Amino acid sequence: MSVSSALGPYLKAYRRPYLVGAACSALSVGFLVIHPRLVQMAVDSLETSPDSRFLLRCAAGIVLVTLVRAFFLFLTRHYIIVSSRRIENDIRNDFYRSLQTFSPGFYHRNPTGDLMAVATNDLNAVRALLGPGIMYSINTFFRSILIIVNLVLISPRLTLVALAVLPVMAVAVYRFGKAIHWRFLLIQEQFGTVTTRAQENLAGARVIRSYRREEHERELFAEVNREYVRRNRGHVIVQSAFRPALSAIVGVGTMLMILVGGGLIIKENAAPGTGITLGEFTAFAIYLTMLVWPAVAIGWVTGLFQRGAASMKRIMRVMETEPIIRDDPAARPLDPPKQTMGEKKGRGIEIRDLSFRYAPDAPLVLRNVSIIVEPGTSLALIGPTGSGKTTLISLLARLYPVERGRILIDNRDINDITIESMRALYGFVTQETFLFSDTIGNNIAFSDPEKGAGVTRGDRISRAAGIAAIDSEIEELPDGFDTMLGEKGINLSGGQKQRTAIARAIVKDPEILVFDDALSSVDTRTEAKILRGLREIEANRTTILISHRISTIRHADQILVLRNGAVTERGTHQELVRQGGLYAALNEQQRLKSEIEEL
Amino acid sequence: MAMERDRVTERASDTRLFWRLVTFGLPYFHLILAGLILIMLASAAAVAAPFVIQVAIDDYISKGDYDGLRLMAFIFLGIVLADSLLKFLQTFCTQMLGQKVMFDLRNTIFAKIQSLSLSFFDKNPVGRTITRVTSDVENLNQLFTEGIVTLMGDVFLLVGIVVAMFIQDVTLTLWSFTVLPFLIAATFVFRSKVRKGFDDIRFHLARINSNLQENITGMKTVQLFLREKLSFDHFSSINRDHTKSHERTIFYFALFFPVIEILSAAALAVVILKGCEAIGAGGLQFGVVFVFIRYLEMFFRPLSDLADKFNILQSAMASSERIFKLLDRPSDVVDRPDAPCLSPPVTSVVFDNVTFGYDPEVPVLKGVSFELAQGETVALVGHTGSGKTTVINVLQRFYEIQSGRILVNGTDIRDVTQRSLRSLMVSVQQDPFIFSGTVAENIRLGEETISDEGMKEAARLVNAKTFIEQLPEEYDTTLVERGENLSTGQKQLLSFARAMAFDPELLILDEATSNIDTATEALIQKAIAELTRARTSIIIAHRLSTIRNADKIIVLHKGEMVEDGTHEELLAHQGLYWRLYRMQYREEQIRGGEPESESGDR
Repeated sequence: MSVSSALGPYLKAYRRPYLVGAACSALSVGFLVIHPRLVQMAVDSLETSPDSRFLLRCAAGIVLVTLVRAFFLFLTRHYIIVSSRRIENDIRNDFYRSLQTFSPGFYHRNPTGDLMAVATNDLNAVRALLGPGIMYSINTFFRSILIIVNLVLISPRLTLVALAVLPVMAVAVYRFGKAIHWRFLLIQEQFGTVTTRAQENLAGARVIRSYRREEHERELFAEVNREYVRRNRGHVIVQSAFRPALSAIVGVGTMLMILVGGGLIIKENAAPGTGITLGEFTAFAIYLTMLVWPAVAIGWVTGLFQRGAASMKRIMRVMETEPIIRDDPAARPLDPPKQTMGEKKGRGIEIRDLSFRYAPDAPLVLRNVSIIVEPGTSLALIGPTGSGKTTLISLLARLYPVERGRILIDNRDINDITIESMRALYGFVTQETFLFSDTIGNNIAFSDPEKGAGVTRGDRISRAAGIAAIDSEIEELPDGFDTMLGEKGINLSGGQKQRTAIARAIVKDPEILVFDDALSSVDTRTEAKILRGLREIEANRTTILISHRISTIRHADQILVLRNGAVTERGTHQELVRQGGLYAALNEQQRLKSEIEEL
Repeated sequence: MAMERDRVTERASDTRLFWRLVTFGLPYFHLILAGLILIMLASAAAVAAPFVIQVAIDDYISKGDYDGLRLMAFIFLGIVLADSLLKFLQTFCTQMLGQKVMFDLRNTIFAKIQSLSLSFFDKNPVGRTITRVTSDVENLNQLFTEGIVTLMGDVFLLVGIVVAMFIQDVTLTLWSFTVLPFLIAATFVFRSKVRKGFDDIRFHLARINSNLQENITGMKTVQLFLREKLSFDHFSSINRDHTKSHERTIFYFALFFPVIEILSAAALAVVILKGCEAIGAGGLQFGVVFVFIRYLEMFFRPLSDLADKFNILQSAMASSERIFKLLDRPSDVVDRPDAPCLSPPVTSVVFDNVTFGYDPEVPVLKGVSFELAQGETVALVGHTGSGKTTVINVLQRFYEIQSGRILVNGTDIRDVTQRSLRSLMVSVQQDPFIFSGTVAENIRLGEETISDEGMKEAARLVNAKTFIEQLPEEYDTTLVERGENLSTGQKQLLSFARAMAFDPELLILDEATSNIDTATEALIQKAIAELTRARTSIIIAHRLSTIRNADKIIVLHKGEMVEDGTHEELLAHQGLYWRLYRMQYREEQIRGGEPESESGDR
């Protein structure tokens, strides 16, 4: 899609204010070109008889037309600039909404910093196009036409002479714009080098201290810094010359006006009707200064349009990305859960011959995995880092597309279930705990935001916190459940964060509870307490646990050992220990480890 | 209300910050002086040009003197060109001054960062620190080039115009200045409204950005909890607040510019009325009225970009505050004045009852004592969190210990320069850091005393030669940032080559725990043996073979040294080491069964 067709719908939605703004702009220019004529009349009245009342009327007229002009000027800005801000608002919302449809793969390819840059810098550039860019284009257009018409009306000959510099000016603005632009690119490039240099220095601080490279690093930095300044120098020269060059060109125009215009006045004085009057000359001079701004604005506005269009392309690249994970047209929601004696039973999960890789040329992360989890039972996964555990449960929630093999929930392929009804089943505690900078109550009540404020003892939020063994610690916080987390609040320890995330998953009352190494930062005693609490609520849900710790998973109904993407051992704790494989070795190692820890 | 308070303190310190910035300009006093003189000359020229027109109108045009007119026109052109040239030189001077000051400032900040101890990096994220060197300085540059330069130019020009107007005609000047009080009032009101408005906008923009950032990072959580709609609603309300705050500010802008136009028209009207009346009365010549019209235009023009300048000034002040805060930060580890240098060889290293905690309240090392003699290899062994890494951190004096002593060659390391202390030792990290640059540069790290042969010999000794020579350009192969085109094992061998090339008196090695294929593992083991041969070494050991080859093993547990001795002695003792050893054995068993894999869980 082209930039203009991408912006089209937005502009169309604000067609009215833009049109009104354009009309006001035209009117404001219309009233701008009147007052030089009043000055002209006042000046020319001096020739005959200086009439105080006439002068007063002219003066009042000048103020009056400017008042009217000011009114339209106000409206122009009000309509156009406000609309540009509203479009910015809409684009930002749409951008945000499209971000929400992308799966984790997208976020691996597009680092947060890049997306933020698009949402801030690029959106800003688009806004500048839609606001000042459009406003000044319209203004420049009307202004140039009306002023040139008036100049010609006064004296075609003088107009021709004075405006002879105009083409020179246009060329100069264009040339300078180009010269500044490529120098600017060179500077930006070197700025990147300076940043990288600093970044690397900070990241490698330990090596640098250890090898005493500080002096050397300073020299290296000074070198890129010097190059940066050197490139800036070229830019500075051009930049410094820009305005003075323009004012020199305008000066030449003014000089020609004085020379030729003065001549015309002399001629008029000698033989009326052959030249121009002093008043006309004065008006001409005022018009000419009014024309300087549009000439400068053309270059500036062109820049705004170029930058805005380039930025809009970057915004579109994100917004036009097709989400990989989305509902199949034939997808239906899941049936409500089966119930036995009024109690939910959890969902059955079946994985059939599942293989997966993150990219077509990447190595397989899962190889022919088949698992059956009966409703209401628990499954545990254990295995070395990189064995595919997290990938497996990510596929269960369809965070990545399943291509080879099948995943069924209650005997239905997850690709045929609507994403919403499928994800509604899960209570996920992910490996890296992510909490939002909000109150701790709102974080726990993430799935049910109305319950987040005014938490009382015994309600759902506080009960969930109880199961996660975080309740008493929350109550000790200054504002209890209303304590803010994150940047503007307090920082929780790793273990507290994990337990908060556990509470968050429990509050959702999920039919399938998934713990991805969710107890790694919790000490063994608290872990035991949480596991006890979970067993009480586990009865009516299916549970999947990933852990490196045997203690977390030993009670699971079914334990699988994953290695390099394949299931290598499966059974209960006792069975696996007896088998004497990796699980047994891990069990032994961790027994020794806990002995050491208890010393 | 907190925002309000911030603003007041900010304003109070603006002048202080400004003067401090000025001190950075002092070394370039000649540029400042040249700039000032040029500004004055340029302003004089700008004001003189309309003067010429007045003379042309009153003395020549009115008298029909073509030759005089022509002369005046050329004088006018001369003045205008001179003015342009002066302005160019002046802008160039000031911008170069800005560049030079920024250059110094960047170097100063960078040097400051080099002097900070590692504890600084524990507390300050890399990204934030980088912006001090980059964007914050860039903001200040804007202050110089666009803020100060134009502001000074404007001030001089305004003064020049007023002077010129008085010279031309006192009465008319006074008359035209009747609008001045209104102008000042309008600007004042606008300034305060816009200041408030900008504060508002900044506040809302910060909210948008942090919400966006947070939601991008936590998108998986949002999606798994089906919070898309609610999160969007929340975002869109923040977004709306931001837009609303803009709309309020736009109102003031939309009002301010027309008001300025009205005032400028009023001034014009007064000049026309009073000027023409005076001409009628015979007290004034028309040329004076003509130049007054021009002067008024010149007078009102700078006001139109007042708001821009104001914005630049504000963000520059905020940046300079952040920069100076960093520059004023004392380093946690400082050399004693006239501290002597420590000189090779290293004959002994002694930890004498050393206690240290990153947070003084929570000691990580509790009274650790041990000795290391010349040529010995000591292995530090212990469970996670036992304080092994901390031992090598305090030995290199990256942190200052809280009690006890660390002696090298019998001297307390706090009594010698950090430089001389660190020149005796080299530490190899668990996760080797690779700089962007060639292989050779990564080994040599800019040390000129290491010859090409020395560098290659070092690579050969630690078995890095083979893989380096297989690289497309061997030692001149450019490595990308963090060495992402090398495998973990290769990065380690490269960092060994680096250590070998520096040939330290004391080697500190934090052995990697990561999984490496068996072939490379064997190379690494041999390299470690080579590195520690006849060299005083401290190794945080994870591999059984490394531990067994050590002359002495120190067993740390929860910050205390619980056992020490040789491998056999400690095994016979059947204490903690014996348990650790068995655990390590299991771990190697578990690891050994695993195929090579570099990719982690996603």
